[in-house]
Amino acid sequence: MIPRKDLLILAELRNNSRESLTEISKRTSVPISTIFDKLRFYQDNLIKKHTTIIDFSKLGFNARANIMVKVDRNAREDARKFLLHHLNVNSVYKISNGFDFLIEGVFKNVRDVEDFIDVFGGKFKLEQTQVHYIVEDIKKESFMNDNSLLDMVL
Amino acid sequence: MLNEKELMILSELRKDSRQSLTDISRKTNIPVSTIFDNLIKLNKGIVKKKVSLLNFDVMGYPIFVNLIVRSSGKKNVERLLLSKPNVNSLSRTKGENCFFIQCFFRNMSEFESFKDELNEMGAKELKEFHVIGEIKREVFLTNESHIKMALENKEDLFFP
Repeated sequence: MIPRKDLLILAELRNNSRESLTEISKRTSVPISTIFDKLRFYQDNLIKKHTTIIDFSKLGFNARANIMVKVDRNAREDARKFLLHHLNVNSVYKISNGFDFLIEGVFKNVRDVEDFIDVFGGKFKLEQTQVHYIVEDIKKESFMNDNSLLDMVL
Repeated sequence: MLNEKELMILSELRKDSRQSLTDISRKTNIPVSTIFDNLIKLNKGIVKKKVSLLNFDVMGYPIFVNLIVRSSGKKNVERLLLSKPNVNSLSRTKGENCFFIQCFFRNMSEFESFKDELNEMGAKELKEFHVIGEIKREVFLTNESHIKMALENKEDLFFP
């Protein structure tokens, strides 16, 4: 069971991962040295990564799509490696319910999305594909970022 | 559009948003003062959020589900989704009243209750995809090849 103090610190990082230890200490009433130790302790196990979410369209990548695919069983491992290294793939998950992978892709335009699916399908026998183009992000990475809701975890 | 230095700084922040300006300077050979000035500009425009990605499974939330929901058109479904703390990310997708939802639950019973609420509020089609493993996450723009791709985009905008 994760102690309440630790959850308060983690909630602060969910709100702003670049927050200084001083600010986190002020908001959580946890001493700076304790916060430092906790962050080191949780690094690479509970904390996977501190990252920055950006607006890809401002870099000219105007098409984002969540693509679900089912590949031939024998091609699954090679497909996984392909997706792991593909530059346009931002995130990939192994999923269930009739599909193998959920791919979050970032592309210049819709044509590039279609080209990606064609290339992927050409390399690995695709049994099923479903594409959902993202129009707008309403909420992003919000789970566990609210101190007032931490009681639901405890 | 960003220049190469700005993209390099952004790339470092994508890899580790808690890096000090000194560390970013060492890796990019960009002076700390320049990074500081660029960060102000980046935070106003392109940066949406700085967030730590956690292992919610270890925290007691092993049920990680992606849902595709089509609502009947009323705002009820969207309002419900915005109010629910289990919803990690919510996007509108192409198609009438369609949403893509990423959420976490303690157990299947909690997830089933959430689905019941959605149906009561007017969710018409609901498809669920349970995540059983993460292969990679938030990796775009974390290496030199991505920076090169973004710079090529910049050229295309001026020379289509």
